[in-house]
Amino acid sequence: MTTLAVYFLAPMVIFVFSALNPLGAPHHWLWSDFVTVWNQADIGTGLKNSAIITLGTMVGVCFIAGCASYSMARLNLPGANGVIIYLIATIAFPVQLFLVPLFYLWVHLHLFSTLPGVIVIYWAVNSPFAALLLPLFMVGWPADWRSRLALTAPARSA
Amino acid sequence: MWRATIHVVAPGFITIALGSGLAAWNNFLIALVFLTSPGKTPASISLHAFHQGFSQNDALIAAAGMFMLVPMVLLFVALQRRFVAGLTAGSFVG
Repeated sequence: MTTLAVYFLAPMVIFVFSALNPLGAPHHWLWSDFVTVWNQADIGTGLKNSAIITLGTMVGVCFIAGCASYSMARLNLPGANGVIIYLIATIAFPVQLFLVPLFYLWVHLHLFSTLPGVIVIYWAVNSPFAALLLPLFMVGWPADWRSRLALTAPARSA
Repeated sequence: MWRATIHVVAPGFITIALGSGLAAWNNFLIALVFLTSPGKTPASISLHAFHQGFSQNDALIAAAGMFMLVPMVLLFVALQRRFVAGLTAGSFVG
């Protein structure tokens, strides 16, 4: 466990050291580099845009995959197996395959170079795997869980 | 009833939120192709542009990378704790 932690932390420690002072362990801490970078690389705007995109992706994928996996795992809908095969096929295709047609479509839809446009792409890219993973957390849950819970904890449910 | 349901599904939702959030944060190709206006670029593209401008100064590039690394490490640590807590507390009493 400790070996594994060191294995994964060592690159980050080297990264921090080289950020503070290049070539070896830092003798004196050079915090001025961070100020320089913040002012010159427009990191603030980048972080703000990344935060918006990431939050939008997280919320959207949770909603889409939540609805999809609930209906696949709990509702016993006809054709659920077909949907699962379709999702696996969607994961199998690389994103680069759709890049050029998606570019033209996004230009036509006026979604090109907008944050919502990119968030929608990330929903489409990340939802299939999430929709396959999330049912695993729902199928272990017994179908008559309401009545079972009412039997085991009558005082709480009343 | 709702608390029991949430306890069972929360680790799953946290897992997919973490996975897709990390993918969106680190994505380079789609961001490079679809976000071209100057004010719209995410951190990965800002870092790339900075890297191309200052390719000699390793300390500056590493400092720029820190800005991109630290928020995700913090988010991962915060969610990881709840993820493990949800796994251990979420067993169904049936």
